[in-house]
Formats: sequence, structure tokens, C-alpha cells
Amino acid sequence: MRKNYKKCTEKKLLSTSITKLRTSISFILMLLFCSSMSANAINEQQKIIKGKVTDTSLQPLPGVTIINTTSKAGTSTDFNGEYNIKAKKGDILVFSYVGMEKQSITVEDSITINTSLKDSNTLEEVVVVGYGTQKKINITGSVVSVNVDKVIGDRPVANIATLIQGSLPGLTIGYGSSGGEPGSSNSLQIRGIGSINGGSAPYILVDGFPSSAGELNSLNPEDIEDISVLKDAAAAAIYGSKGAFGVILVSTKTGKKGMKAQATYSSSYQLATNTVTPNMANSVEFANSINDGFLNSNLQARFSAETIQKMQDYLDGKIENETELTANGKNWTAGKTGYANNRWFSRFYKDNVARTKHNLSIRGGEKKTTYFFSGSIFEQEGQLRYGDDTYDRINVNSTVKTEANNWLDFELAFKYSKETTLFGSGGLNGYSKNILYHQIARAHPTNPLFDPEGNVIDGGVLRATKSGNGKLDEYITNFSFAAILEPIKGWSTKIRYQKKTKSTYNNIARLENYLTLPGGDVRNFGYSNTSFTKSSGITEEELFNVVSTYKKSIKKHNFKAILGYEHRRNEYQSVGASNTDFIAPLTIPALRTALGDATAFDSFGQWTTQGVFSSVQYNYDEKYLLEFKARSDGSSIFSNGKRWGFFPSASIGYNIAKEDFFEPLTNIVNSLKIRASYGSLGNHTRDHAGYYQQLLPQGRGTWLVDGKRINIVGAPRIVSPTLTWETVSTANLGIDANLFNNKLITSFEVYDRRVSDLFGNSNPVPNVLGTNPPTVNNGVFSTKGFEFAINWQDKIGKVSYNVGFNVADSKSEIIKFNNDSGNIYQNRAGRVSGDIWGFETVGIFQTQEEVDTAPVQTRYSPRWRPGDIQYKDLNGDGKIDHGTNTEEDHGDLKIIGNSRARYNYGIRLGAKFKGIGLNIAMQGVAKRDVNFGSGTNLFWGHRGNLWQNSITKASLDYWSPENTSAYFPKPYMKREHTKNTKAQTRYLQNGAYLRVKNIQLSYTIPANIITKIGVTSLRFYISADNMLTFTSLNENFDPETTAGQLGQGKIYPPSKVLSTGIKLTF
Amino acid sequence: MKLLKIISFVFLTTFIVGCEDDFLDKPIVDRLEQANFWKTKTDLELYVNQFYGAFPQWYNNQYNGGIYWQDVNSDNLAGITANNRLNGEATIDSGNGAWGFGSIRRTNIFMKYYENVDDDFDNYKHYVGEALFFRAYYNFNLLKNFGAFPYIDKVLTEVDEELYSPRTERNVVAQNIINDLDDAISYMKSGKQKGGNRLSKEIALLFQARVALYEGTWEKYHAGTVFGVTGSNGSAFLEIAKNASHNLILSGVHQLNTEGVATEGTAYYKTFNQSDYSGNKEVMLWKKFDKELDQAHNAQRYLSRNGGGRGVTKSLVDDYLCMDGKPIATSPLYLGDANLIDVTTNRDPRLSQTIWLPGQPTDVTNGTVNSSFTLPSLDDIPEQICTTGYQIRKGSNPNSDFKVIRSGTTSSPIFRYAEALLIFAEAKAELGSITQADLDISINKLRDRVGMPHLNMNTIENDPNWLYPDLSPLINEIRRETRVEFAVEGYRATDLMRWNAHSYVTVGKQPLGAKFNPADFPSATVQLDANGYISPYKSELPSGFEFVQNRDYLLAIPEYQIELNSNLTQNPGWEQ
Repeated sequence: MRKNYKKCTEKKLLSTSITKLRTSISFILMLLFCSSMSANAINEQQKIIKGKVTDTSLQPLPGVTIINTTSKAGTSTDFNGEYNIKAKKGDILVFSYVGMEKQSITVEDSITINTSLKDSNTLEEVVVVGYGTQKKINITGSVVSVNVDKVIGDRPVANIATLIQGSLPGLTIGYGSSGGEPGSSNSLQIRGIGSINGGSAPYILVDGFPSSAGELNSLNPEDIEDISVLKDAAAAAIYGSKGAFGVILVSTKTGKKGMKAQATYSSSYQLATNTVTPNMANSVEFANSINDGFLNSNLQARFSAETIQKMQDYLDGKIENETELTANGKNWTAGKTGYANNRWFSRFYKDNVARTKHNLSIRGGEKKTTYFFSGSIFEQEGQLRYGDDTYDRINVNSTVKTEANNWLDFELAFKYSKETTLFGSGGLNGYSKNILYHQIARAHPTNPLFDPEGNVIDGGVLRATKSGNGKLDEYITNFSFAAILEPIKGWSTKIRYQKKTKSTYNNIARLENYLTLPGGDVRNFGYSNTSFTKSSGITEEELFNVVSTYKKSIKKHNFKAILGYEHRRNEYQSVGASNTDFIAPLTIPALRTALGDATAFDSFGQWTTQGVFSSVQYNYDEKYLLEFKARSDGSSIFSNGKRWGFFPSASIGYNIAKEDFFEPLTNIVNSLKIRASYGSLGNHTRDHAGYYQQLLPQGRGTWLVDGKRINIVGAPRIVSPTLTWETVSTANLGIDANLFNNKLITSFEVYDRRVSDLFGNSNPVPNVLGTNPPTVNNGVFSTKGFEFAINWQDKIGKVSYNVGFNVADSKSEIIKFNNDSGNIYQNRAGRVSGDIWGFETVGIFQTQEEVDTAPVQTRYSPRWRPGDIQYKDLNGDGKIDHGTNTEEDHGDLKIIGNSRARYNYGIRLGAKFKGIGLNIAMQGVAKRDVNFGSGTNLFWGHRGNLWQNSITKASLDYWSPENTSAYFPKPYMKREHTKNTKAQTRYLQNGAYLRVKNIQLSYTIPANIITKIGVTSLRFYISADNMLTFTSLNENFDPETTAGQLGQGKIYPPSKVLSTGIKLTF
Repeated sequence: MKLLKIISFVFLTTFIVGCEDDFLDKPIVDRLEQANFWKTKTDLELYVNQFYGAFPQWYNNQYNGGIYWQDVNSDNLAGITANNRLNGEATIDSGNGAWGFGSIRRTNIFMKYYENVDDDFDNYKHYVGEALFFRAYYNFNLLKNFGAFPYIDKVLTEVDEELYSPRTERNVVAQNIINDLDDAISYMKSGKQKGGNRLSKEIALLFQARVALYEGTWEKYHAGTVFGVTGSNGSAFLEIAKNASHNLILSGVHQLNTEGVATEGTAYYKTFNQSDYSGNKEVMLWKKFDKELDQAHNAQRYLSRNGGGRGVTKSLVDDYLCMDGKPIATSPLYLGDANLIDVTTNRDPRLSQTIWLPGQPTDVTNGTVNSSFTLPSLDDIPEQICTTGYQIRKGSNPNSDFKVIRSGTTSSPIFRYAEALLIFAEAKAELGSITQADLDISINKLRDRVGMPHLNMNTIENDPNWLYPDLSPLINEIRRETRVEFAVEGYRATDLMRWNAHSYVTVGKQPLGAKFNPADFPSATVQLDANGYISPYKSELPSGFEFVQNRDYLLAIPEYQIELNSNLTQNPGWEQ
């Protein structure tokens, strides 16, 4: 056999370097896995069948796999869609191609078989579900899936989450807490908020291996075949506790049996720019606004009329330098006398930056062995001008499957990724790098940066740029080995062992930053001591499972039973050290060049889960469908005796279109299925590890004794020995229909998910306790929602097109919670997630008389004047207050809005004409209220403190005697600022948006042209991400990143990206 | 057969990989557990270490003037804007941040477990004393803010009935604090411990005197008001204060710092700006800084450079006597207040060691004077301004090394012996049993150090400007001495509260600063009163401070806590 094989491949393949590579790899793999293969005798009576395979528009299809099911021989079509294969009369040839319907043709007398393949019939579509696949038509739980190549196509994005945002109804993808930082991970949520304290994270599995939102980032999007999302308990039940809030199954590409080796190279070049940069006021506008704040607070103006005139002169170009010597001849104008006009955001962010991506993959298969290899490089330059802000990634991915003999298959997969992220350190002692966003937002435009000789004046703003950076290297290797046993037909058992090792190496340099001041003094604006911290961590995770599946059909009765065992073990440890006092300037980052006293730190942790699960599926003629699933789960997070939970589910489906009486309608209604499910799952989070243990925190104090920092041991918290699983139960009702010859595919479902035994505090107790009461299981949390998706696909003449729309919504409410206080800002029964309490705004007081006759507002400030906000006396008691902030007595507060993103929707449009394709993907949120708190300087402009204001153009529209119809109230420079900036209807922002996530125009060169240069397919495209956004939100915020770790809007913005790319298949 | 092989293969694999004893028993192991702790004396030391952050001090890398800026909540300093509480602008939320019992719980945990230590009590009792001291310290903070509150001396659980205790009467709380300190005094070692970086018996004595004087004078001066304690005039606590301070004086362990008296006459100034007080007999407890250990502050970037948005008030400056022991109203030595030199000439030397005068070096490198003070920073950005023209000098150190960011290592006393002398004099005076001999071992020691004439009970000069005209001349003079000796060290606000003194010094009054000389500041825009004195709050407080006397002596109990515990009652004036 081996000999035959070699001969065969040598004959078929050209001696390009890639094919050589493919040959040798295949050969090695054959050696490894095929030793027990037995050769198949070749029937002498065979003849050679020739033919051509096209799509329905008669375009030749290269790469179609053709298998002779009798002889097991296989081949694939060439560039012209032509093939030849040995067969004898009566053999069955199966033609298959990704995204196309399989076709079986029985060989007759003719030696020519031409055929055309149709796009996949969706009725036959197979979807990846828990521990296997299932025909979509037979699914009774709530599952959505997307085939990346087919639905999304080549979109050159940095990560998979960006790619599928808006494509899967019920899966909400947003920016994480780091915004658009290169390499940052996204937040993923299935069906809205899961639990209050138990997390909401879905269980993410990549080829069956547990992953995380962060690790999804490390995947190469081009390696992804499809993504399934299991949304209800019935679908996710088999994953037990981790699947409580849904499961995301990511499958990477594999080879196909008998598929001719195919090498694909793709490359793209991208230019990115910030979606939103705050639009700041110029120097004169800034100075007048600040002065108004001071004057309104009965303080003296900060900027004199003379200085403001200078600002104007500088703006007008009448003054050349941004600073000059002050009257005393020693100092440069700055601070109070500064007249510069610096646009600090431009000084920190580049206009546009480049990203490049290269990807090479090889996939194919022989009779018994299939393989997929890929390698990719992604390089992203960050938006910041300093700190070497970059993100680079290398991926290698390989999967090989082979049949050892007729009852034993092996599967071997290996994934490797290396990510490198560089980022500035921040420059400010005691703060994270994120302090930067805060510093830029509040810098005064009037401050000059340099004197005419280039000496630094505003070192505060410059401190970030040269104060070192951090470099994080993350290596993830993922190895998986599986044996699949099928001793008798219908009974297969998969034994699988997977191991993931994640290593991180973190180097952070925090540098002293000496800048020369005017007059020649040199001062350190960076960290007080140059320090270098080096740490490394390793997480090892093992997953072992045995899943046995038995399938049997007796007439029209179809059975399937699954029995499985699984355990997971996670162990992590880290070690690091830090030192100061370097012999030479820190050019070589090495602790050994330091003289200071090194400090070292480490950590160690471990957790395990274990479970047994089973599933029984039955259907009658794919018409009546029934499924039961159950899983017993144990977790090391809880104390002994509280570790195990049992979680069952059941679901039913009814395929009406299969009924005989439906026959006359089947031309219009191709399928119509109603399904219902109910089930429960356990939930927990690793945040609750050790809650049953009385642990004493340790640390090093800042107090010195004997000239050394003291060590400290703190007090333990109150333990929770009875803490156990949250129980998440979901009822789901769905209807799926395919209409008009499968041109219209639609699905609608509603659900009610209830979390009981919610993790929460025991009833609030007086502060006198001196610590938080223990976490216990209490309360009930409910999330109700719906999802709807509709897709239309058709042709007009030679133009094929598709239109898709999906929308999902959910609303969460606490049904029961141990909290009698009724405090409106606390978790309590009846609290709807995201509710914003605030005042109703009457308007802005225009006269003192209005103030004097209005209900008194002295609860919040003794002084009210024209230009201040008038709140509405909702309870009519003649005064404005918040009562006791409770449900019973909340004074004049009411629920003014809701901060949750509601009605998340996605729109997808596509059209194809000959080789030209146009795809548009849009994503939006139809309802969301954003409340910018008193401290949000990027919204209000002012924040009651000279150093915390961000005077934007938008914030200039504030009340003054000359501008009585202003949007914003009178600004203040003191705490009085908070009286006008309370949560209230007037300033509640509409956070709804519609964003054109991607527009792509591509051109595929006709096959007959490119085959001459030895290429199977060649495609060019241009693509634009985030180019258009429709929203009425304040212009200084991106609707997708309104949060920020140091205040709303103080975050790395998302990017608009323009790309060009090429994809080449050999 | 094949089937059998497969089944055994599957089960064997499952067994080998899956069945491990205690697979799910994976506790957190890289932390200390309660069961492994409380074994040795060292454990007690490590635990009690956590409380050392309690004191007013500079925290690492802090950008402020530390204790020398704290008097903005009193009539000693004026900030950029008026203090909310002094101006009656405190709200019902004012006490929200202070109503904390976490530290008290932590000290109670110590009390519950320390006896598990396997050692003789005598070997570790010092740490028990430290923990008792801290419990007293945290309870005293609550007493100062709220008066009465539920006094807790055990580790409560979340279902304890005692969580719903009513407020413990303030005098009972005070007595409990005194009792804890009695034990702390008997357990702790005598003498400066670790060079004054750890607590000692004497510190507990001083603190006991402080608490007792506080409660004694509070009960005496608030008697008959909504804040008083029915049936008490405070004399029991005044006795305790007297005894504790007297015992400390008699012990002889501490003395006033006199280093610098003979040569430069600046022993007082040098008590506040040194990096090492281990040999200083007056400074009983202090926090050490060390740049190498990344423990340094930025105070000298303000104290020896600008006003930091604060300024010493005319009221404080005017309280300093002249060198003849007479007040400025009557002393012939007083030169008036036309400028900083005049105002300080012939005055109590502590004045020129508390505010900056022209010619005093502000920046010195290895003994070379780089710059000297010329004018207060009246014309500067708000955060650096000197609001009154009298710029804070106490605590400053002109050494230029300390001005580099995060390089200041000067410390400030946390407890200093001088306080014992003043407590002794005040307690005895309030008890009416003071003698000249008492004054001579207390206040007159402070006067001796700075070269001021003695306070003589029988020849007190009549001062038409006494702040408390209805109190005795001696009480007035002792309070003056307290104010002057502890000027801008953060004690004044508490003194005004316990003396019920806002009616005398703040209500309806605007703080003033120095006489303004426009020629010195051609471009400054400064608000002045009718007599040409700087009046920083002229426009902000047209009718002076509006401290609400039947309300603002205590903070409001957080509303939410009253909701949770209906047995709690609200403080006077805050009831809705």
C-alpha cells in the first residue's frame, strides 16, 4: 500500500516546493499512523471515469472531492473542474465540496460523468453540538451556528470575536475593559446577564478544549471552520456546570478524505485609525470656560484677560512660539500664563497605523488520512505614539486524522500561538498604564510643551512617553490526542486527552525620565526609581473525556444514546522578581544588572472538576423528536459535601412539514419545526474558590521598623462552608422554518432563564459587623428574552444575493434576594438589571425668582442660582430629595432609563456577480441609555476641579447669562459641581447605534485565466471596518466603549480599519 | 473478543486517568490559614503590624504636606475654599465614610485568638498591649466623629444579635477605651521601642491622657447642650487625664527635644523636619521613610516651596505672645503687622519657626544656600497658592534632595511628649487644682525651650483679645499655649470641638491673612478686607462661617445604618 501510495502521489503532484512539503509530511504521517493499514485489492475490471464538475452557474469547481465508496479510492477536481477516477459499473461516486450539497452518482456504462453541485441544502446541514454533530433539522434545543467561510468570507480581522459580532443572534460581543487596545480581548455574553455574582461567561471550547474569551484572541480567524452557540439548558446540558450561560463551540478546519492537497496563501495590509478622538476646545474656549467655572464658584478667574488675548494672538498666528519668558525674565509662560494651543490627543495618538497579516494553510486527505496545517503571522501597530505600542501574533495549527484499521481511528491535533504585546508603562508611580487615558483627557491645551530651545515645560504630560514599557509574551500550546473506536457499526467511543500549556513572560520597565527644564535644570518626570519587573507564569490544563455513542435505526425509529465521563484539572503557578538601582541605564532588561534589594513573588493555584453525563435521543422519521440529557458535576471550588450537583434536561420537537398532510405545501414550506425544552445546569465561578477556607491575607507594609518594611498578616473573612452551585434553569420555545425552496430561512425563539440559589450576600447587616457578611446561596434571578433571525437568498439573473437580519433581546430582573432594606441601589427583589435612578429635569433656572418659587433643593447644596438645574418635585412635598433611597421612600427619584444594550441586531447583505462580490455587515443596538456620572469630565467638561476638567467643544454649550438656552448647566469649580450633574433625564444619553461593521468588495479572477499561471483561485479584496456609525451619543464617546477604568470614555478607542488583501489557492 | 478488548481498553484508560483519590479536594494552598496561625509570638507581631497605617502620617508617594496641612478644618489655616464642615455645609452623608468597624473587628480577632500562642504571656504581652492600644485608637476615632456608637469588643458573626445594639453612651465608650489603655500600659514595654517606630507603654499613657482630656473637657463644656452627658461635668475623666500625663512626666522616659537650642535656637523647628528621630527624646512615635525601600513622599515639594493652597490665619499669628510674655495688644515690643519681618520681630520664637520669613533658606544643597524665601506664593496657581500671605514653614526642610519626586524622607512626630505637658496643665486647670509648681513642670518647660518668659499664675497679663473672654485668664493662656505649641499639627479642630468653642472662633467670622502690600505683587488679584488684610473668603463667605452649633459638633450617623438597625438613634440636628 505504501508503495502504491507513493507512486500515486508522485504521479499526481507537481514538484513545487509546497507539494514537496505536503508529500513529505503526508509520508511521515503515514509512517506514524498507517502501519496497521491493510491494502485494498484493486479490481481489474475497473475503467477510468472522466468528467467535469461545475456549480449551478456552470462555473468549473476546482478541488471537489470525489470518492468511490466501493473501492475507497478518491481524487479531486483540477483547476478546470475536471477529474478522472477508476470505477466499475455499479460503484457509487460521492462528490463533495465545502458549502455544497453532497452528490452520489452510480456509475453506469458511460465513462463520462459531468455534474453540477448545488449550494448546500440547508435541510441536510449538520451542526456541531455537544460532543458530536447533529443534523440541524433534528435539533430540539437552542443552537445557532455560522460557517465562517460561507457566511462571513475573508474579512481580515485581528480576532474571531470581531469577525462574528452581530452574526449569531443571542451572542453579544463587545469591547472588554481595555477597549480597542491591540491584543485586548472582547467580552462575550449569551442571552444577556447570567448571574449577579456568579459571572455570565459562556463556556468556550475550541475543538473540544476549554478556552476563554482572551484565548479566542490567540486563534487565527482564518483557521476557523465554524462556530456553534448552544444557548439553552437542553443544548448545553451535556457540558454541565460550565455551560450554564451557554456554550460556544469553535471548530477549526480539517482536511477531507480524498481531497487533493490544497495550499492557500492569503495576505492583507491594513490601515487603522481611531473611531473617536475627543474633540477638545481650543485655548481661548478652554480658558473662558475655566474662568466661568471659577467665577461661578465665587473664586477669582484663573486666566487674565491679557493672557486670553495672548491665546487669541497665538491662535491667529500673531505670536510665533507657544511660550515666552515671563516678566521676571526667568520663567516661561505656562500654567496660569500659558497661552499655547496643544491638541494633546493628537500628540498621543497617531493618525493611522498599519497592520499586516500573512497566512498559509495546506489541507487535504488521502484515503485514510486527512490533514490540515496552517501558519500565520499578524502584526499590529498600536495607535499610541510611544511605548512601542504593538501586538504581534504567530499561529501554527495542525490536525491529522487517520484510520488505523476498520474499528480504530486516531486524531492528533496541535496548536501553537505566540502573542507579544508591548505597551507604555504609564509613567506615574502607583498607577497602572491606564492612567494615561486620564492624563491626556485632562491636560490643559494652554500649557506649552517645549520652550523655544526644546526644553520641556509640561513634563506632566510627557512623563508617559519615555517612562518605559511592558512586554508581555504569551505562549499557548494545545495538544490533543484521541482514539475513536467503532467495534460494531453504530457504536463509537471517543477517548480523548488534551493538554494546554499557557506560559506568560512579562517584563515591565518603569523608568526614571529626566527632562531638561528651561534654564537647564534636569528633573525626573518618570518613576522615582527605575525598576524592572520580570515574571513568568504557567498554567497547565488537562482535559480527559470518554464519550461513547450508540446509534441505531429500526425502520423509522432512530435512537442515539451517549454516555460520557470527563474531568478537568487546572494548575497554575507564577514566579517573578523586581529590582531597582541599575548599574547602567536600563538598556538590557536584566535583573542581574541591578544593585538594589530584589523582591520576589509567586503564586500557586489549582482546581478540578469531574462529571458523568448521558443523553438519549429519539426520533420517529425525523418528525417527532425527543431528547433527554443529564449530567452530574463535581467541583473543587466548594467544600466537601457541597461539591456535587445533578442537572437534567429534556426537549421535544415536532417537524410538521414531515407530516403527510403537509405534502401539498412542501414546495412553499420546506420545513417547519416547533421545539420546546426545559433543563437545569449548575453554575459557579472560580472567584469563589477557597470561600470555605479561613485564609489570612499577607503583604508587605509601608511602615518601617529596624529600617525594613514590615510584613503584615491580615484578618480572615467570614467563611461560606455551605456555598454550592447556582442552579440555572432554562425554558425555551422555538420555531424554525425554511420557505420558498429554502430561499427563506427563519427562526424565532423565546426563553425564560432562572438562576436560583444565587450567589449573594446574606441579608445586609449593619456595618458594626466590620466585614462583609459571607457569600451564600440566596435569591432568584430571571432573564427573559427572544431571538429572531431571517435570511433570504436568491438570484436575479446572474446576480446572486443574500439578505440576513437577526435581533435578540433580553431583560433581567431579580425575583428574590435577601435584602430587606429596599435600597434602590442594591440588589433586591424587583430590581431590573441596568435600571438608572435619577431625577426628572424641569430645566435650567433662568431667574432668581424661578429659584425662589421652585421646590427647595437645599438637600444638595445651600445655594441655587440662575443657570442651575431645576429638578422636578415628583412626590409633591415641596422639596427635592432622595428620601431614604429606598423602594418605599425614594423622594423624587425615579427610574429614568436602563443602561443595558437592548435589541442587539445584525444585518448582513451580500451580492455576487461573476467574480465580483460585495458584502456588508452591520451591527447595532436599538435601545440603550447612557448616564454619564458627575465625574465624567469628557461629557460635562467640568468636574469641579481645575485639574480634572476636560473642556471639549461639546461641553462649551453651558449656561451663562449670554447663553441661556444652553444644554449644560452652569459649571462650577468646586464640589458644588455635583449639584447640577446628578443622574437626571436631561442628560441621559441615547446610547443606541447602528454601525457598519464591514464593507467588502472582492474580485475573483476567472479560473480560465489563472490556471495558466498554475493557480487554482485568486481573489483580491478591499475591506473597511467600522467606517460608518449612526448614533446620537455625545461625540466624544464611541458607543461601543463608553466605559473606562479611570472614568467613562477614558479608554483606548476602537479602530476604523481599511484593508486590502489577496487570497491565492494552489 | 474485539468488543471485550475495547471495553477493557476504555475502562482501563478511564480508571487510570480519572480515578484519583480526592480528585476534587484542591484547596487554596498558597495562603496562610487560620488553623496554622496564632502559634508564636511572631504571628502576633505580624498581625498587629497591619494597624500601623492608622496614624496621621505621610503615606508613600503622597503629594501633600501631611499633618501640616490638616488644620484647614480649623481657624489655624485657610484653604483655597472654605471648609464644608466649618461652614455648615456638611450633609447627612457626612459620616458615611467614618462609620467603619473593620479595624475594630480585626483587633477583636486578635483578642479572641492570641491566647492560642504557645508561649508565656510575659513573652508576648507587649503585642497584646499594642493590639489593645489600636482597639482604643479606632474606638476613639469613632467617639470623636459620632459620640455614642455601639461599642463592640468581640468578634461578631453575621447573625449576632449584637449587630442591632443601640448606641453605647459616649462616656461608657470613653471608659472602655480608658480600660483598654490601662491594660495596654501594663503590658507594653517601657522606653522607646525600635527607636520610636513601635508603640510603647509611654505612648499608651499619653494616648490615655489624650482620650481622657478629650472626654473630660467635652462633658464639661457641652454640659447642658444636646451634646452633653447628663449628670456629668467630666471631672472623672479629667482626673484620669491628669494622672496619666503626670505619670508620664514623672517616669522621665521622655523629655523635650533641646537639640539646636544652644546653637541656633531652632530646637522647636527641628522637631518637625527630620528624617530620623530615633535619638530624639521628645518624639515618641514616628514613621520612617527610605527612598531605597520605595518609601518616600513629596511633602518638601510644597512645604519648602509654596503654600500648597493653604495659609496660616491672622488669628493664629496674633495669638503668639511677644517676647515679654505679653499679648500683642498690650506689649510695647509689638511692631505691628505691616510686613512679615515686623510681625515676627520680638514675638514668641515659635512663630518664625512656623511661618516663612524673608531670608530663611528654602533650598540648600550640602550647606550651600541656593535660594531663600522672599515672598509668599500669593500669585500662583490655586494648588500652590498661599491663601493668607502667612506661608506654612513648620515641617519644611530646605534640603534640595527632598524635593525630587518621591524622595522626601522627612518625618513628622505622631506622638510627642510636649502634649503630655499641655494635657497635664489643662486637666489640672480644668479641675481647679493647678499650682504654679504644676505650670513649672509643664508649660514653663515649653517656654524654656524657646526662651519665652514663664507663665505665672498670679501675674497673667490681661488680654483684651482673649478668644474665650468668659473663661478664666489661666484657661485662656493654657489654650493659647496649646494652640501655639501644636500650631498646624492637626490638633486644633478636635480641640475646638471638645471645648465647644466654635461660637468663639468661627461662627460669623471670616479668616484673615497678612496685611497685603500691592507693591510686592503687581499682578496678583487678592481679596482684601476694609483694613487691607487678605480676606480669602470675602466673596465666598459674606457673612462668615455658618457652623451649625446644635448639629455640627458630631457627624450624622449614616441613614442606611439606621434603616438596618432601628435601635440606632441619629445625632442631634441630623434627624430628618
